[in-house]
Amino acid sequence: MCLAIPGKIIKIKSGVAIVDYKTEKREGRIVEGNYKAGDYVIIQGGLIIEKIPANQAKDWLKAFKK
Amino acid sequence: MKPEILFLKYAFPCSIVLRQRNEISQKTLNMLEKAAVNNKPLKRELLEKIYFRAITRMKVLAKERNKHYFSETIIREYFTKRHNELLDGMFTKAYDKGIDIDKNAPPSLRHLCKVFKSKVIKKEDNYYIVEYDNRKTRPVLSALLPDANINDIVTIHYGYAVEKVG
Repeated sequence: MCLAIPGKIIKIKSGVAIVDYKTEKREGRIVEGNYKAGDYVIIQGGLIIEKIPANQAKDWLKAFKK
Repeated sequence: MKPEILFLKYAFPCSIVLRQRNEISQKTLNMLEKAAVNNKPLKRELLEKIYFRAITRMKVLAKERNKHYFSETIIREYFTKRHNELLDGMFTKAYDKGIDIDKNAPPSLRHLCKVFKSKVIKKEDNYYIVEYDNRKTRPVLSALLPDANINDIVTIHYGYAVEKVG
């Protein structure tokens, strides 16, 4: 199950980020790149694949309206 | 490769966007994933129904090239070129029911939805690290293309490697 929206990293421990999506939290493995708590990221298949600038993160949901 | 399989490999990675908009159910998304991963050719009518935007634009492109729209050539050219142009708002001649991600969508989303040629620089259990677009790197799942190796040139779409191109 994948989410197409960015979530916010609230904690990183041993290369795994806990990502907050407001309605739920998910884990994503950090396998490349540097991330920190507060970063908005996209998870796919259990991996953190991209960082999203904070100012764009909230615009993602708007982009998905039909 | 059957065009239905090639099409789904390119189209599937952004299907979570369709799910996010509730255009398809989770059950349908799971079915699409299973078919894409297992190289199962789905019925063309089903693909055309779900991915109607891509099909409409492929038809426009096919007319320009004087080729059949559901051919490997058009599928590849659509996803590796026209799809990116549409995301950049550079191509506006495809009048259709509406662009997936319009040019008002945040740049980071449009960027992630583009198809890029990339070089595999690392291979791990279920993903590759690839380098693309002048020094950018991204992890991509290998589920759709499990047999790529380091230094292979592969196309990527969202969080997946799609096919070997060099």
